Amino acid sequence: MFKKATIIIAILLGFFVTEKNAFAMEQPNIEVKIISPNQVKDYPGKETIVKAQVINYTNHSIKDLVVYITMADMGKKWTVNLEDYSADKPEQIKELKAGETKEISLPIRFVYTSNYYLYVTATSAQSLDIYSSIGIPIEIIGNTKINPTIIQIVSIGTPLIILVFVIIHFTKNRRKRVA
Amino acid sequence: MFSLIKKEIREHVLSRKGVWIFFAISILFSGLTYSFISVKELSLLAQVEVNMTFMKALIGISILVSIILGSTMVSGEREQGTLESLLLTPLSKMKIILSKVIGILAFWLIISIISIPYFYALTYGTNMLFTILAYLYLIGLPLVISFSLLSLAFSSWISSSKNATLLSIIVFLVTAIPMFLSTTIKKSGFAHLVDSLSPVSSSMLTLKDWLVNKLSTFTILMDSLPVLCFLIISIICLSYASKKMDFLGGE
Repeated sequence: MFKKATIIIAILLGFFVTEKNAFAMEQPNIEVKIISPNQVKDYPGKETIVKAQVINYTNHSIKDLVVYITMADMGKKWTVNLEDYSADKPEQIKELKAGETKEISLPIRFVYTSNYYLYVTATSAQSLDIYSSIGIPIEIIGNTKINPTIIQIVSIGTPLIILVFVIIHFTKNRRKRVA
Repeated sequence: MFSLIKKEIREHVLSRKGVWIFFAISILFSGLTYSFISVKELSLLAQVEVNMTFMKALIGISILVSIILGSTMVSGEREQGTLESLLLTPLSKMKIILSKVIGILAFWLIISIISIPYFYALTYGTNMLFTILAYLYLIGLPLVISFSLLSLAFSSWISSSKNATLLSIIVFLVTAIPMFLSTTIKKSGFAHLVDSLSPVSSSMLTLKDWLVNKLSTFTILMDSLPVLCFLIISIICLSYASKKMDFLGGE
Protein backbone atom coordinates (compact mmCIF):
# COMPACT_ATOMS: atom_id res chain seq x y z
CA MET A 1 0.00 0.00 0.00
CA PHE A 2 2.81 2.36 1.02
CA LYS A 3 4.71 1.40 -2.12
CA LYS A 4 1.72 2.22 -4.32
CA ALA A 5 1.19 5.55 -2.56
CA THR A 6 4.87 6.46 -3.13
CA ILE A 7 4.57 5.69 -6.83
CA ILE A 8 1.41 7.81 -7.16
CA ILE A 9 3.04 10.71 -5.30
CA ALA A 10 6.13 10.38 -7.50
CA ILE A 11 3.99 10.48 -10.66
CA LEU A 12 2.07 13.51 -9.39
CA LEU A 13 5.33 15.27 -8.52
CA GLY A 14 6.54 14.45 -12.01
CA PHE A 15 3.50 16.18 -13.48
CA PHE A 16 4.06 19.20 -11.24
CA VAL A 17 7.75 19.54 -12.17
CA THR A 18 7.04 19.11 -15.89
CA GLU A 19 4.24 21.64 -15.72
CA LYS A 20 6.52 24.11 -13.97
CA ASN A 21 9.19 23.64 -16.66
CA ALA A 22 6.69 24.10 -19.40
CA PHE A 23 5.45 27.22 -17.66
CA ALA A 24 9.05 28.48 -17.39
CA MET A 25 9.51 27.95 -21.12
CA GLU A 26 6.39 29.99 -21.88
CA GLN A 27 7.70 32.87 -19.81
CA PRO A 28 11.18 33.65 -21.12
CA ASN A 29 13.36 36.30 -19.48
CA ILE A 30 13.33 38.40 -22.62
CA GLU A 31 10.76 38.47 -25.35
CA VAL A 32 11.33 39.83 -28.85
CA LYS A 33 8.29 40.78 -30.96
CA ILE A 34 8.24 42.12 -34.50
CA ILE A 35 5.75 45.01 -34.64
CA SER A 36 6.02 45.76 -38.32
CA PRO A 37 5.94 44.64 -41.06
CA ASN A 38 3.81 41.48 -40.80
CA GLN A 39 5.11 40.26 -44.14
CA VAL A 40 6.88 41.58 -47.22
CA LYS A 41 6.03 40.73 -50.80
CA ASP A 42 7.93 42.96 -53.19
CA TYR A 43 10.60 43.24 -55.86
CA PRO A 44 14.37 43.21 -55.25
CA GLY A 45 15.73 46.53 -54.09
CA LYS A 46 12.86 47.00 -51.62
CA GLU A 47 14.01 48.83 -48.51
CA THR A 48 12.14 48.49 -45.26
CA ILE A 49 12.57 49.14 -41.55
CA VAL A 50 11.83 46.26 -39.24
CA LYS A 51 10.41 47.52 -35.96
CA ALA A 52 10.68 45.21 -32.99
CA GLN A 53 9.94 45.30 -29.28
CA VAL A 54 12.25 43.86 -26.64
CA ILE A 55 10.57 43.14 -23.31
CA ASN A 56 12.40 42.32 -20.09
CA TYR A 57 10.27 39.95 -17.95
CA THR A 58 12.85 39.56 -15.19
CA ASN A 59 12.98 41.53 -11.95
CA HIS A 60 16.47 42.86 -12.67
CA SER A 61 17.93 45.06 -15.39
CA ILE A 62 19.77 43.54 -18.32
CA LYS A 63 22.75 45.39 -19.71
CA ASP A 64 24.38 45.49 -23.15
CA LEU A 65 21.69 43.84 -25.24
CA VAL A 66 22.45 43.32 -28.90
CA VAL A 67 19.44 43.11 -31.20
CA TYR A 68 19.82 42.12 -34.85
CA ILE A 69 18.04 40.76 -37.88
CA THR A 70 18.47 37.15 -38.92
CA MET A 71 17.15 35.65 -42.13
CA ALA A 72 16.84 32.14 -43.43
CA ASP A 73 16.47 31.58 -47.16
CA MET A 74 13.72 28.98 -47.30
CA GLY A 75 14.01 28.68 -51.07
CA LYS A 76 17.65 27.66 -51.08
CA LYS A 77 17.59 26.31 -47.51
CA TRP A 78 20.52 28.34 -46.23
CA THR A 79 21.21 31.38 -44.12
CA VAL A 80 21.95 34.71 -45.78
CA ASN A 81 24.92 37.06 -45.66
CA LEU A 82 23.26 40.10 -44.12
CA GLU A 83 26.00 42.43 -45.36
CA ASP A 84 24.55 42.01 -48.87
CA TYR A 85 21.22 43.21 -47.45
CA SER A 86 22.80 46.18 -45.59
CA ALA A 87 21.44 44.68 -42.38
CA ASP A 88 24.63 43.57 -40.68
CA LYS A 89 24.69 46.37 -38.10
CA PRO A 90 22.98 45.39 -34.83
CA GLU A 91 21.12 47.80 -32.56
CA GLN A 92 22.44 48.06 -29.04
CA ILE A 93 20.38 48.53 -25.90
CA LYS A 94 22.65 49.71 -23.11
CA GLU A 95 20.22 48.84 -20.33
CA LEU A 96 16.80 47.24 -20.25
CA LYS A 97 15.30 47.72 -16.79
CA ALA A 98 13.08 45.16 -15.06
CA GLY A 99 9.73 44.98 -16.81
CA GLU A 100 10.80 47.59 -19.36
CA THR A 101 9.95 47.46 -23.08
CA LYS A 102 12.09 49.09 -25.73
CA GLU A 103 11.40 49.54 -29.41
CA ILE A 104 14.15 49.27 -31.96
CA SER A 105 14.31 49.87 -35.73
CA LEU A 106 16.48 47.77 -38.00
CA PRO A 107 16.84 48.73 -41.68
CA ILE A 108 17.12 46.12 -44.40
CA ARG A 109 17.27 46.14 -48.19
CA PHE A 110 16.18 42.96 -49.97
CA VAL A 111 18.48 42.15 -52.87
CA TYR A 112 18.05 38.59 -54.07
CA THR A 113 14.95 36.87 -55.37
CA SER A 114 13.79 34.12 -52.98
CA ASN A 115 11.48 33.24 -50.06
CA TYR A 116 12.79 34.06 -46.62
CA TYR A 117 11.87 33.91 -42.95
CA LEU A 118 13.00 37.06 -41.18
CA TYR A 119 13.29 37.18 -37.41
CA VAL A 120 14.86 39.45 -34.83
CA THR A 121 17.25 38.05 -32.28
CA ALA A 122 18.39 39.52 -28.97
CA THR A 123 21.24 38.50 -26.74
CA SER A 124 23.21 40.08 -23.94
CA ALA A 125 26.76 39.85 -22.68
CA GLN A 126 25.43 38.72 -19.29
CA SER A 127 23.99 35.42 -20.43
CA LEU A 128 24.41 32.80 -23.11
CA ASP A 129 20.65 32.70 -23.71
CA ILE A 130 19.48 33.80 -27.15
CA TYR A 131 15.96 35.12 -27.71
CA SER A 132 14.34 35.29 -31.09
CA SER A 133 11.03 36.58 -32.34
CA ILE A 134 8.56 34.65 -34.44
CA GLY A 135 9.55 34.82 -38.10
CA ILE A 136 7.76 36.87 -40.72
CA PRO A 137 7.51 35.63 -44.32
CA ILE A 138 9.40 37.59 -46.96
CA GLU A 139 8.77 36.96 -50.63
CA ILE A 140 11.06 38.74 -53.05
CA ILE A 141 9.67 38.33 -56.52
CA GLY A 142 11.95 37.97 -59.50
CA ASN A 143 11.46 40.78 -62.00
CA THR A 144 14.30 40.20 -64.40
CA LYS A 145 13.38 40.39 -68.05
CA ILE A 146 16.95 39.86 -69.22
CA ASN A 147 16.94 37.78 -72.38
CA PRO A 148 19.92 35.36 -72.38
CA THR A 149 19.94 35.25 -76.21
CA ILE A 150 20.37 39.04 -76.44
CA ILE A 151 23.11 38.91 -73.79
CA GLN A 152 24.94 36.23 -75.79
CA ILE A 153 24.61 38.16 -79.06
CA VAL A 154 25.89 41.40 -77.48
CA SER A 155 28.67 39.68 -75.51
CA ILE A 156 30.04 38.00 -78.62
CA GLY A 157 29.07 40.58 -81.24
CA THR A 158 30.46 43.78 -79.67
CA PRO A 159 34.10 42.58 -79.26
CA LEU A 160 33.93 41.09 -82.76
CA ILE A 161 32.81 44.43 -84.27
CA ILE A 162 35.63 46.23 -82.44
CA LEU A 163 38.07 43.57 -83.63
CA VAL A 164 36.97 44.25 -87.23
CA PHE A 165 37.70 47.97 -86.63
CA VAL A 166 41.11 47.06 -85.19
CA ILE A 167 41.94 44.96 -88.28
CA ILE A 168 40.73 47.70 -90.66
CA HIS A 169 42.83 50.23 -88.72
CA PHE A 170 45.96 48.09 -88.95
CA THR A 171 45.42 47.35 -92.64
CA LYS A 172 45.05 51.09 -93.39
CA ASN A 173 48.19 51.92 -91.42
CA ARG A 174 50.17 49.18 -93.18
CA ARG A 175 49.03 50.43 -96.60
CA LYS A 176 50.08 53.97 -95.65
CA ARG A 177 53.52 52.73 -94.56
CA VAL A 178 53.98 50.73 -97.77
CA ALA A 179 52.91 53.73 -99.87
CA MET B 1 44.03 74.46 -81.22
CA PHE B 2 41.94 72.25 -83.51
CA SER B 3 45.09 70.66 -84.93
CA LEU B 4 46.30 69.98 -81.37
CA ILE B 5 42.99 68.28 -80.54
CA LYS B 6 43.34 66.20 -83.72
CA LYS B 7 46.86 65.23 -82.64
CA GLU B 8 45.67 64.18 -79.18
CA ILE B 9 42.83 62.09 -80.64
CA ARG B 10 45.18 60.51 -83.20
CA GLU B 11 47.77 59.71 -80.51
CA HIS B 12 45.41 58.31 -77.90
CA VAL B 13 42.11 57.29 -79.47
CA LEU B 14 43.11 56.15 -82.95
CA SER B 15 46.52 54.76 -82.04
CA ARG B 16 47.34 51.06 -81.85
CA LYS B 17 47.36 51.30 -78.04
CA GLY B 18 43.96 53.02 -78.06
CA VAL B 19 42.13 50.51 -80.25
CA TRP B 20 43.54 47.57 -78.31
CA ILE B 21 42.33 49.18 -75.06
CA PHE B 22 38.82 49.48 -76.56
CA PHE B 23 38.93 45.81 -77.57
CA ALA B 24 40.13 44.78 -74.08
CA ILE B 25 37.35 46.86 -72.46
CA SER B 26 34.71 45.25 -74.69
CA ILE B 27 36.01 41.79 -73.69
CA LEU B 28 35.78 42.84 -70.04
CA PHE B 29 32.22 44.12 -70.52
CA SER B 30 31.26 40.91 -72.33
CA GLY B 31 32.65 38.76 -69.51
CA LEU B 32 30.78 40.76 -66.90
CA THR B 33 27.52 40.80 -68.88
CA TYR B 34 27.70 37.08 -69.62
CA SER B 35 28.32 36.35 -65.94
CA PHE B 36 24.94 37.91 -65.13
CA ILE B 37 23.24 35.00 -66.84
CA SER B 38 25.80 32.24 -66.20
CA VAL B 39 26.91 32.73 -62.55
CA LYS B 40 24.16 31.49 -60.23
CA GLU B 41 24.55 34.17 -57.55
CA LEU B 42 24.62 37.00 -60.11
CA SER B 43 21.69 35.57 -62.06
CA LEU B 44 19.57 35.93 -58.90
CA LEU B 45 20.15 39.68 -58.84
CA ALA B 46 17.30 41.98 -59.79
CA GLN B 47 17.58 43.69 -63.17
CA VAL B 48 18.10 47.07 -61.51
CA GLU B 49 20.94 45.62 -59.38
CA VAL B 50 22.50 44.08 -62.49
CA ASN B 51 22.53 47.49 -64.17
CA MET B 52 23.93 49.16 -61.06
CA THR B 53 26.76 46.61 -60.90
CA PHE B 54 27.56 47.14 -64.59
CA MET B 55 27.46 50.93 -64.15
CA LYS B 56 29.88 50.69 -61.19
CA ALA B 57 32.28 48.64 -63.32
CA LEU B 58 31.97 51.07 -66.24
CA ILE B 59 32.63 54.13 -64.08
CA GLY B 60 35.55 52.42 -62.32
CA ILE B 61 37.18 51.44 -65.64
CA SER B 62 36.49 54.89 -67.16
CA ILE B 63 38.10 56.71 -64.23
CA LEU B 64 41.10 54.39 -64.19
CA VAL B 65 41.70 54.76 -67.94
CA SER B 66 41.22 58.54 -67.88
CA ILE B 67 43.62 59.07 -64.95
CA ILE B 68 46.28 56.90 -66.59
CA LEU B 69 45.90 58.89 -69.82
CA GLY B 70 45.74 62.26 -68.05
CA SER B 71 48.68 61.69 -65.74
CA THR B 72 51.00 60.81 -68.61
CA MET B 73 49.89 63.51 -71.05
CA VAL B 74 51.91 66.54 -69.89
CA SER B 75 54.72 64.77 -68.02
CA GLY B 76 55.04 62.37 -70.98
CA GLU B 77 55.53 65.33 -73.33
CA ARG B 78 58.07 66.72 -70.88
CA GLU B 79 59.96 63.41 -70.69
CA GLN B 80 60.02 63.06 -74.48
CA GLY B 81 61.18 66.66 -74.87
CA THR B 82 58.16 67.67 -76.98
CA LEU B 83 56.66 70.01 -74.38
CA GLU B 84 59.12 72.74 -75.31
CA SER B 85 57.91 72.92 -78.92
CA LEU B 86 54.31 72.77 -77.68
CA LEU B 87 54.85 75.72 -75.33
CA LEU B 88 56.53 77.70 -78.09
CA THR B 89 53.36 77.59 -80.21
CA PRO B 90 51.09 80.69 -80.02
CA LEU B 91 48.58 78.64 -78.03
CA SER B 92 48.13 79.55 -74.36
CA LYS B 93 48.89 76.96 -71.67
CA MET B 94 45.19 76.73 -70.89
CA LYS B 95 44.36 75.93 -74.52
CA ILE B 96 47.05 73.23 -74.60
CA ILE B 97 45.58 71.68 -71.45
CA LEU B 98 42.03 72.03 -72.84
CA SER B 99 42.97 70.12 -76.00
CA LYS B 100 44.37 67.33 -73.82
CA VAL B 101 41.14 67.25 -71.80
CA ILE B 102 39.17 66.93 -75.06
CA GLY B 103 41.47 64.05 -76.04
CA ILE B 104 40.62 62.20 -72.82
CA LEU B 105 36.91 62.97 -73.26
CA ALA B 106 36.97 61.56 -76.79
CA PHE B 107 38.50 58.39 -75.38
CA TRP B 108 35.82 58.17 -72.69
CA LEU B 109 33.07 58.91 -75.18
CA ILE B 110 34.07 55.83 -77.19
CA ILE B 111 34.09 53.70 -74.01
CA SER B 112 30.59 54.97 -73.20
CA ILE B 113 29.42 54.19 -76.76
CA ILE B 114 30.85 50.64 -76.43
CA SER B 115 28.82 50.21 -73.23
CA ILE B 116 25.47 51.13 -74.86
CA PRO B 117 24.75 47.70 -76.44
CA TYR B 118 25.50 46.04 -73.10
CA PHE B 119 23.12 48.41 -71.32
CA TYR B 120 20.50 47.70 -73.99
CA ALA B 121 20.82 43.97 -73.30
CA LEU B 122 20.78 44.42 -69.53
CA THR B 123 17.81 46.79 -69.47
CA TYR B 124 15.83 44.73 -72.00
CA GLY B 125 12.10 44.64 -71.22
CA THR B 126 12.23 47.66 -68.92
CA ASN B 127 12.26 51.45 -69.40
CA MET B 128 15.57 51.87 -67.55
CA LEU B 129 17.81 52.52 -70.58
CA PHE B 130 17.04 56.26 -70.75
CA THR B 131 17.64 56.72 -67.00
CA ILE B 132 20.87 54.74 -67.22
CA LEU B 133 22.17 56.85 -70.12
CA ALA B 134 21.05 60.07 -68.41
CA TYR B 135 22.98 59.03 -65.31
CA LEU B 136 26.02 58.05 -67.36
CA TYR B 137 26.25 61.44 -69.10
CA LEU B 138 25.00 63.67 -66.25
CA ILE B 139 26.83 62.14 -63.28
CA GLY B 140 29.40 59.75 -64.81
CA LEU B 141 30.77 62.35 -67.22
CA PRO B 142 31.51 65.06 -64.56
CA LEU B 143 33.11 62.37 -62.38
CA VAL B 144 35.39 61.18 -65.18
CA ILE B 145 36.20 64.79 -66.18
CA SER B 146 37.09 65.61 -62.54
CA PHE B 147 39.55 62.74 -62.26
CA SER B 148 40.99 63.57 -65.70
CA LEU B 149 41.53 67.22 -64.71
CA LEU B 150 43.12 66.24 -61.42
CA SER B 151 45.48 63.75 -63.09
CA LEU B 152 46.37 66.41 -65.70
CA ALA B 153 47.10 68.83 -62.85
CA PHE B 154 49.41 66.26 -61.23
CA SER B 155 51.01 65.66 -64.61
CA SER B 156 51.68 69.39 -64.99
CA TRP B 157 53.00 69.74 -61.45
CA ILE B 158 55.14 66.60 -61.24
CA SER B 159 57.85 66.06 -63.84
CA SER B 160 57.70 62.24 -63.65
CA SER B 161 54.85 60.38 -65.37
CA LYS B 162 55.18 57.46 -62.97
CA ASN B 163 54.77 59.66 -59.90
CA ALA B 164 51.86 61.54 -61.44
CA THR B 165 50.10 58.24 -62.29
CA LEU B 166 50.79 56.85 -58.82
CA LEU B 167 49.43 59.95 -57.11
CA SER B 168 46.31 59.97 -59.31
CA ILE B 169 45.64 56.28 -58.59
CA ILE B 170 46.10 56.88 -54.84
CA VAL B 171 43.55 59.72 -54.96
CA PHE B 172 41.13 57.46 -56.85
CA LEU B 173 41.63 54.57 -54.39
CA VAL B 174 41.09 56.84 -51.37
CA THR B 175 37.81 58.12 -52.83
CA ALA B 176 36.79 54.58 -53.81
CA ILE B 177 37.61 53.05 -50.38
CA PRO B 178 33.97 53.15 -49.12
CA MET B 179 32.93 50.86 -52.00
CA PHE B 180 35.07 48.08 -50.50
CA LEU B 181 33.94 48.57 -46.89
CA SER B 182 31.02 46.98 -45.12
CA THR B 183 28.02 49.08 -44.11
CA THR B 184 29.00 48.76 -40.43
CA ILE B 185 32.49 50.23 -40.95
CA LYS B 186 31.11 53.00 -43.17
CA LYS B 187 28.83 54.26 -40.39
CA SER B 188 31.58 55.50 -38.08
CA GLY B 189 35.00 57.12 -37.88
CA PHE B 190 37.29 57.94 -40.78
CA ALA B 191 35.42 55.61 -43.14
CA HIS B 192 32.20 57.57 -42.52
CA LEU B 193 33.98 60.86 -43.25
CA VAL B 194 35.44 59.50 -46.51
CA ASP B 195 32.09 57.97 -47.44
CA SER B 196 30.20 61.23 -46.97
CA LEU B 197 32.77 63.35 -48.83
CA SER B 198 33.86 60.92 -51.56
CA PRO B 199 32.61 61.83 -55.05
CA VAL B 200 32.72 58.14 -56.02
CA SER B 201 30.53 57.17 -53.05
CA SER B 202 28.10 59.99 -53.69
CA SER B 203 27.82 59.04 -57.37
CA MET B 204 26.88 55.50 -56.30
CA LEU B 205 24.34 56.87 -53.82
CA THR B 206 22.88 59.03 -56.60
CA LEU B 207 22.57 55.94 -58.80
CA LYS B 208 20.78 54.02 -56.05
CA ASP B 209 18.41 56.88 -55.24
CA TRP B 210 17.67 57.46 -58.92
CA LEU B 211 17.23 53.88 -60.09
CA VAL B 212 16.06 51.92 -57.04
CA ASN B 213 14.56 54.34 -54.53
CA LYS B 214 13.19 56.65 -57.26
CA LEU B 215 13.64 59.70 -55.03
CA SER B 216 12.90 63.30 -55.92
CA THR B 217 15.10 65.41 -58.21
CA PHE B 218 16.09 67.55 -55.24
CA THR B 219 17.40 64.52 -53.29
CA ILE B 220 19.28 63.30 -56.35
CA LEU B 221 20.83 66.76 -56.77
CA MET B 222 21.83 66.81 -53.11
CA ASP B 223 23.33 63.31 -53.46
CA SER B 224 25.42 64.41 -56.42
CA LEU B 225 26.67 67.59 -54.74
CA PRO B 226 30.11 66.09 -53.81
CA VAL B 227 30.61 65.20 -57.50
CA LEU B 228 30.02 68.82 -58.52
CA CYS B 229 32.24 70.10 -55.69
CA PHE B 230 34.97 67.69 -56.79
CA LEU B 231 34.64 68.97 -60.36
CA ILE B 232 35.06 72.59 -59.19
CA ILE B 233 38.09 71.64 -57.03
CA SER B 234 39.63 69.79 -60.00
CA ILE B 235 39.10 72.82 -62.30
CA ILE B 236 40.78 75.09 -59.71
CA CYS B 237 43.69 72.64 -59.30
CA LEU B 238 44.18 72.38 -63.06
CA SER B 239 44.01 76.13 -63.69
CA TYR B 240 46.66 76.60 -60.98
CA ALA B 241 48.79 73.72 -62.29
CA SER B 242 48.57 74.91 -65.91
CA LYS B 243 50.35 78.13 -64.88
CA LYS B 244 53.14 76.02 -63.39
CA MET B 245 53.45 73.89 -66.54
CA ASP B 246 56.96 74.29 -67.84
CA PHE B 247 59.59 72.24 -69.64
CA LEU B 248 62.56 70.75 -67.83
CA GLY B 249 65.37 73.22 -67.32
CA GLY B 250 68.84 72.15 -68.45
CA GLU B 251 71.95 73.07 -70.31
